[in-house]
Amino acid sequence: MMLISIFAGFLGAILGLGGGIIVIPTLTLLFGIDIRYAIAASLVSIIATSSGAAASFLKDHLTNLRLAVVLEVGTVFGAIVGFLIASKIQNNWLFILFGSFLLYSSYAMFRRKNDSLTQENHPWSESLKLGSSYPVNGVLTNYGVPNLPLGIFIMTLAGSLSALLGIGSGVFKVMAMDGVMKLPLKVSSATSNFMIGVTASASAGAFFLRGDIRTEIAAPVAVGIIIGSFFGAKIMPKLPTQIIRQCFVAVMLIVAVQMIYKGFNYGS
Amino acid sequence: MEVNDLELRISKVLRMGVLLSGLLLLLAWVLNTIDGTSLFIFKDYDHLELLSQLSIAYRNKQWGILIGFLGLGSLILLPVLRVTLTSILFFTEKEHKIGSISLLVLILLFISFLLGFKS
Repeated sequence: MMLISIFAGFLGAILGLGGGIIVIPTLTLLFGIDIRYAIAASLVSIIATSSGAAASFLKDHLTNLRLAVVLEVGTVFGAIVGFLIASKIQNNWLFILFGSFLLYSSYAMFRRKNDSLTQENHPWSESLKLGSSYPVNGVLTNYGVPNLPLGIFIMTLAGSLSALLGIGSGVFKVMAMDGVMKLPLKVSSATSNFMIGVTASASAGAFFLRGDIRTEIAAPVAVGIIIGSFFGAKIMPKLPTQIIRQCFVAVMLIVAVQMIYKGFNYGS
Repeated sequence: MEVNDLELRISKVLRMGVLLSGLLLLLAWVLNTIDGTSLFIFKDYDHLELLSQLSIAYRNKQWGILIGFLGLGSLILLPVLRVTLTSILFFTEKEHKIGSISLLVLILLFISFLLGFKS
């Protein structure tokens, strides 16, 4: 379990995801643990990945702290909306809809060869000084933040989806920043990593108080994830963007197929 | 103080927090293993309130479980602490606009917590 958790943390730190797609199937299929315990442990793993990698990414100037704060308004608000409407929505169609959307997005991401980089800023980004710089081959390169309102809207959607579908929404966050807001992929991944901890801590707190997070399961998972995310965060700045993109597309495809499958088998 | 210094400060707090909760969880794991806890008992879901779990663990002197809860609690609170700290640091730097947005995130986070508790 420890080794798989280390791998999940490593991959999560590099791609800006929580690692739940590795942790949940491992706990349920390999160790035969009930899905409710697995989901609760996976929420802790999201926080561990996020906090484990965030320190390094902040120091390496990959995380855009200001942008993360602005976009977190969308994700946390979305999580509240998702929580409130959860009982009124038929989840199976949501799974199928967003699974198909992810399938298309993974194709679009796969086709894109060059990393996004623009100096253009939305007026809100200008006012909040969201544009920043990140290291490219050791040289700090400036980038702007266009399409901010659309970005916040997608983050709200991503937050709702986490609450509605019980998924970490790192995939949607990275996609929104890389695709819609034209941010460099490494900045998108590091900033998503920073944000997912906040979204997950809201749900994890409730699960924790309800007694669903069992230390016997969560302790080895969290320790493994922290070690993995630490190494992932060390290696990510040195990895070529194209490799990160390919890994991300592969993960997107897996999540898309999982979601569509869940949609068609919902409740059965 | 530049924003980069702020980032550095927050990164230091996060690193210390992760290290502390990681060590607590490692200790918990070792103690649980010595106690011979099997994951087989989690094959089926059995709801048990946090307080009941704590009191059972305390009565049976299961230190691994008690230390584990301490580690988990501190890990879960880490992102909340980070948002709080970001907000305070932005206000200290007279970055009122972004400081207020950060404060808004904190308020929304607490609303979300409350909704979770109520359910």
